[in-house]
Amino acid sequence: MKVLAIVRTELTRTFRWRANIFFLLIMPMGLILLLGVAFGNSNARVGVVNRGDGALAGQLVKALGNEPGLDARSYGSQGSMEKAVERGYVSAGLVIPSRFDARIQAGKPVALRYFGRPDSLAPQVRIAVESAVSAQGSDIAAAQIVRSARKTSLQSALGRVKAVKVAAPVSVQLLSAKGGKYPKSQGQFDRSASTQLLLFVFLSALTGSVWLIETRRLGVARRMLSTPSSAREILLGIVIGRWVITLMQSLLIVLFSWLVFSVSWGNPLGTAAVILSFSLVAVGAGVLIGTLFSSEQQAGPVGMIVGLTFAAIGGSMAPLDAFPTTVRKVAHVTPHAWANDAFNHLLVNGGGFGTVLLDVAILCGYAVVLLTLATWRLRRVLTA
Amino acid sequence: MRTAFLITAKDLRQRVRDRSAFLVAVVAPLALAFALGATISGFSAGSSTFKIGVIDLDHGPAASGLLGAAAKPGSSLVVQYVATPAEGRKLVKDGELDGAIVLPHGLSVASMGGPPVQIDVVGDPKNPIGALVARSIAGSFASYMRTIQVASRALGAGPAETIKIAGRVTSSGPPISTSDTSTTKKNLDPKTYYAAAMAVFFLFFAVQFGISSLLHERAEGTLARMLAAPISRRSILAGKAMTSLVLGFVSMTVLALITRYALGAHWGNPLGVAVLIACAVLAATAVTALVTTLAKTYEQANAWLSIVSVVLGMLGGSFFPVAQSGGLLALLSKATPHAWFLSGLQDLSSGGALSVVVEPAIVLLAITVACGAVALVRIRRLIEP
Repeated sequence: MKVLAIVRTELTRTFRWRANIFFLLIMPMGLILLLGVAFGNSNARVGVVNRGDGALAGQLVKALGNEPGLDARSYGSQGSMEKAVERGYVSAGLVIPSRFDARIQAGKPVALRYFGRPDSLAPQVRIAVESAVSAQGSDIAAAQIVRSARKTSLQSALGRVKAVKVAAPVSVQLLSAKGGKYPKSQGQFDRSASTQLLLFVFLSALTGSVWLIETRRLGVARRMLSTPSSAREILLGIVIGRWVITLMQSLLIVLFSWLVFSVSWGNPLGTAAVILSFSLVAVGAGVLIGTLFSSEQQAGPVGMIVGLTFAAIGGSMAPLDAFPTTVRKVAHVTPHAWANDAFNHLLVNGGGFGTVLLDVAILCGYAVVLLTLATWRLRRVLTA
Repeated sequence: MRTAFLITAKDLRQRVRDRSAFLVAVVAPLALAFALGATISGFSAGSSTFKIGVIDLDHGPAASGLLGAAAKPGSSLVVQYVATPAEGRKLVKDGELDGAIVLPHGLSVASMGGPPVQIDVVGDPKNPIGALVARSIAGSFASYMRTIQVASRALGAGPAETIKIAGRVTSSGPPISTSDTSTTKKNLDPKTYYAAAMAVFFLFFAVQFGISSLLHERAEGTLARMLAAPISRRSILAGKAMTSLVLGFVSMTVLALITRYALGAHWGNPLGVAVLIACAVLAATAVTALVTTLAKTYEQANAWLSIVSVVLGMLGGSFFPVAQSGGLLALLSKATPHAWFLSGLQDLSSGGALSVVVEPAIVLLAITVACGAVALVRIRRLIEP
């Protein structure tokens, strides 16, 4: 019962401070939204400057936009498009020249200037752009063959070509390597939701260490010890209190992201196991930091440094897949990397509870070590 | 003025003693710049070669047409023959191939006017660019086949003539093509980007030790004591502002030097960097002062300042290059000092002349004046006993 009272005190103190609601909930949701909007869509971007004014030029722009996997972004001038390419805002840029329609109708070949940075995806994107361009040029290419064979004008050849009703001899279907259709899009917010959950759960548990120092500074701990309660009950109350706060935060992030951004969280049992074990790790680390420093001014920044650095190394800022191999190995020093791996099994590969057993076991190992250290330190600083 | 310096000196001594300034202004940005630079280094550069698998179940002449569609100069594609679709799927799933194209039985017959067929392209959702490339190659090939078929129908050609038409389509080249123009690159390498981004992100925390400590001094009663002494309010204010400016400037300079010499970041022309740093420090101090004047207590000011610093940092691209996303987000990003500081550095480090810092510097100074003016009007009420 006493333990519960301490847990309740921890909760009241945390949520009475309204800025906490921002840090615990609004920030992670905002970031999931921001990352989802900015990077959720993994299409390659190409900037298009349309100087032509005819229907064919318009059709080409539309065809580029319809090309799956490609986002066409319009730019008003070649200068602004080039700047966007140079800064990497788009992978490449394309200029449709003036008199595009007229030149095509006159049977002259048209070259579209394609701008790409040497170190970027530009050569690959060019293949996609050429695919859209070749679809557009198909009728014209056929008409030119007809013109040279029949010695007619291009206009009448085009008329003959357009009159031919023929089913496309070859169609293309994109399939996923895992079998089945290629997914339309892997939920725009799916990836950012799980990585940001880990980042913020850990970060707020660590910056929460400031509260533990306040507990000592204001004498809350001493007063608790002066009541007929054992040190063990107080330790348990503090740790469970922090854990409940962390779990509430996780639950709310999961619920909100599911309801608002329709993020799918995969196998419920697996996800619950990952969140429960990871939040224990976070609480252990947070309480430990709270016992290692004596002022809020020190513990706050240290919590932020460790929280953000671990998140960066552990794949919560850039995906682990994109790391160089050695860095990825080093990254698994952090609990984040294991938890991110686990979410990868659950959310990307659609795995079940069994696929995350190893990751969860390792996270539990972290939790045991950190919590043992933390409670040992906490007992010392509280009873000293 | 002398008293202002005394106040600044006292503040700085306090901050140096409890090491908090050192943690926030130097250790935190360095640790994060290092972590982000190490993990994200391989992120922006595209992989140069793409490996596409081809499974030829057709065993006819059509496959060579497809390879023709794939052989584009500069695309650095590697085509590898794979025996079965299942093997192709496995190789794509394992990341050995970026995509696989299955040429179905009857493809060559379809190209001569036989029944239509379907090419299956296998891609991994984790490698969308690979899937895009493979699909596009197949798409270009499908257009090529369609051109031949349409021309042959329009001419009422038989099989023998169709082969000739195919040859002519190949040799005459596409009516619309693309011609490659290389541009220069003007983004910062990840190391430099994150060194600068973290420096400016934590700058907003470092300058808090100055202005916002007014509220702390008021709560502790030391402000009342200062006011009782023959010290003008202006001196107190100037002293606190100088603490912010000194901490900000020292922190940014130290970070620029350490990341330049220890992490190999390329900041660009030192004079231009100094101008950008000075303007960013001014802007950060003004924004901090404004937020401080809106708060009632020290705790409140701290919380609000953290929120403002984090939100501005996130939007300004300190953690993720937000400007890439375009649209409303890119616009919001432009409202942050972080974004202007970073874009100024981008232009500078890519070898731009000194004049490229003029625009970002003016914007940063405008932010300073706007926020600073409001703060000055409101700050009087903070300096009350």
